[in-house]
Amino acid sequence: MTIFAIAWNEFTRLIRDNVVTTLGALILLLLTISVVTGITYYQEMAEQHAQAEEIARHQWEHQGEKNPHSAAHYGTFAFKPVTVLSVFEPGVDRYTGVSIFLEAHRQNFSAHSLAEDKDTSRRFAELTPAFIFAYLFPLLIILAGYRSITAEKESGMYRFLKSQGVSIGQLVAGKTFGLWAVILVIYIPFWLTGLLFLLFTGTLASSLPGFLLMGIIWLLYFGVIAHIAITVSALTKSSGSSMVVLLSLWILSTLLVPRLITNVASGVHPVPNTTEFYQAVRTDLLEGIDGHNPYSEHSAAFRDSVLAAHGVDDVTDLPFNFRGLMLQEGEEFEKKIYDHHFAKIDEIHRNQNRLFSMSAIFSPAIAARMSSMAVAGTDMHAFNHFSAEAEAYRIALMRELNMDLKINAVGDRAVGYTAGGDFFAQNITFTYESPDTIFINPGQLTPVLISVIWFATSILFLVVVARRKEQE
Amino acid sequence: MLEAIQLSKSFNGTAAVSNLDLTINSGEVYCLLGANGAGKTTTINLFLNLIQPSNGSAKISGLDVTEHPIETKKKLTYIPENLSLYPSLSGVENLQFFCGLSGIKLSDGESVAYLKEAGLQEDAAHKRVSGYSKGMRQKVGIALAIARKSEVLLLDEPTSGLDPSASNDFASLLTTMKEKGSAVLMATHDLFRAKETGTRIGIMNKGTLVEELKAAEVSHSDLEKIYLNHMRA
Repeated sequence: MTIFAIAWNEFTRLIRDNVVTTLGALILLLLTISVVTGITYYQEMAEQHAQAEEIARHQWEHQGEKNPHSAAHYGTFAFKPVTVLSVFEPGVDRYTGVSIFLEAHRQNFSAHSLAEDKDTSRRFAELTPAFIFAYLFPLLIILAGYRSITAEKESGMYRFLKSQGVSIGQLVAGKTFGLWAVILVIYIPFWLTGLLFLLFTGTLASSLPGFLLMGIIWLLYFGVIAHIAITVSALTKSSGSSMVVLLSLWILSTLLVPRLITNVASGVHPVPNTTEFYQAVRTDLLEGIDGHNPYSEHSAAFRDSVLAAHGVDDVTDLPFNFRGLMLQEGEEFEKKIYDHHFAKIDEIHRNQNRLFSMSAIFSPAIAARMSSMAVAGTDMHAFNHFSAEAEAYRIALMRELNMDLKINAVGDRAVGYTAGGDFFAQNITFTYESPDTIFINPGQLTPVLISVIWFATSILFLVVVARRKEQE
Repeated sequence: MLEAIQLSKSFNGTAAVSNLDLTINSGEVYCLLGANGAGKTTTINLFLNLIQPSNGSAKISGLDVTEHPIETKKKLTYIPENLSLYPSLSGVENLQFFCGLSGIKLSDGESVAYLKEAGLQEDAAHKRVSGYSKGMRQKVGIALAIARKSEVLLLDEPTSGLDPSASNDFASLLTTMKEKGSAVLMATHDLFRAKETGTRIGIMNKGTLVEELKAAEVSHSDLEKIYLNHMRA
């Protein structure tokens, strides 16, 4: 009863506080703008994605009679679909790129990152709900909570409340619930609007678990900030000191630690630049068969082994086109080399990501952001999943093209052979399906776990400070 | 009933209250006079259990405040010199909140009635406390005591800074509370108000209760003389 009375009183006090209500209204306005621009952006991207995919496939299917290997060099694209939850958490999508060019002999990095877009309206889309939740919402909580206990001490109310039999534990609990109520008053309408959006886009069923989990993750984060705000308010003597401590923690958690960890991660696990990467790939490619060069030492050895296996002396005596086979052999060797080098890059990214995940121990903002990106399917793990699928498709498509050459081309030369137009129309299609599970990699659970630990620890802070103050 | 038995409190070896023996019965207003630092507020803090006694005990309605902190606090209302109320809430809302802390749920009508009984105008009762004068805030405190049916009132210089009219209103309210059977302990510097309102008057000096008088048996001028003599001693 006492705790409820204090909570209700705190809630009433806060919603009558002009500063809190003004900032709360401003944040709601920003959230509305961010969702509206996010939805527009999502729809635009989804439309562009569909169009680009259709154009690429149309161009592939209608390239007419052509040598299959020429078509392999002509290439095609794999496009990463935008997830509906990217409206709320765009994650690394804008930096990783949205498409991968698929061609013979070569595994490419993604291209066309949204960050390259110079359109100012799109830059405005960077004001995302996730950004507001991670950076601005904590400021509202700090502003609402920094003087929750100090104001009672400064006004003499604390003493008066104690004379009424209110314990510090009850005061802390009541203030915490009151602050939670304010958070929920702003947060719940936003999430209900989000649910409506999912409903109208017809993605509610598929996105609901992720959406709800994302909602819980951000609530945990807000809880951490609220609990820390009240803990600091209980520990400090004046509202001014409380504000200074809390703003310092905010700067540390949202600005300094992420920046510092980014620098440390790229220092400890440096990613080679593109020139270095392709130079290393080229060096390794010289150690194996080149599907285009029949005169190299490796090609000759391969040819001899094939001739021996079929008991013939010349490639023209083979029951298939040797060039087609050699191109496929080259493709498979190149795949091994590219896989090896891309695996190294992936390992570097994984190490960086692991370091970043662990740094969430020092910053609840990092924990919340990484968890939110994982749930929205916009983190590096999601992108790597798409890249792996695109590469698997490239290999399958190249095999299909090389096999056609191998089976249908006459003689020992690939040049001159053309596949019919309908052959390309029948080639396999790339359709990327996002994984069914919310978490596609165990590494994604680390920041979620750290978020939960932060939340539990922040409650522990409240309990410890209340007990300590009770004994004073 | 309020009771202090050999109640003592020292801070860093300096006695703030020394061997205080005091009994205040229901329907009695006990005015505690003394200079700043005489030990008046410390005595009130000991009854509120905000500080622990070095020796002796403080009892409210027969219960030791250190052994029964929750029960004893339910029986009392404390009104300090500057009563803290939540400025963004109205008088009604403040009263409802403070009563709610003790589990007493008041309707708006009941709240207004209590506030009116304490002398606050009905239109003021619904206004935010940020616009209240000190006298009006003290009336909310008295309304709280009435609503909680407090057996004990602990008042720490409640009329300090009040204009004569407001001070007189407050004195009338104390009389009402006395008639309702509350035991009132009021620390004050106001000799006139102590004589007019008190049943008994105690004078404290350097932590010791040096004189106890019946208000009805002493004149204003004699009270002043006795008080000054003790202060100069």
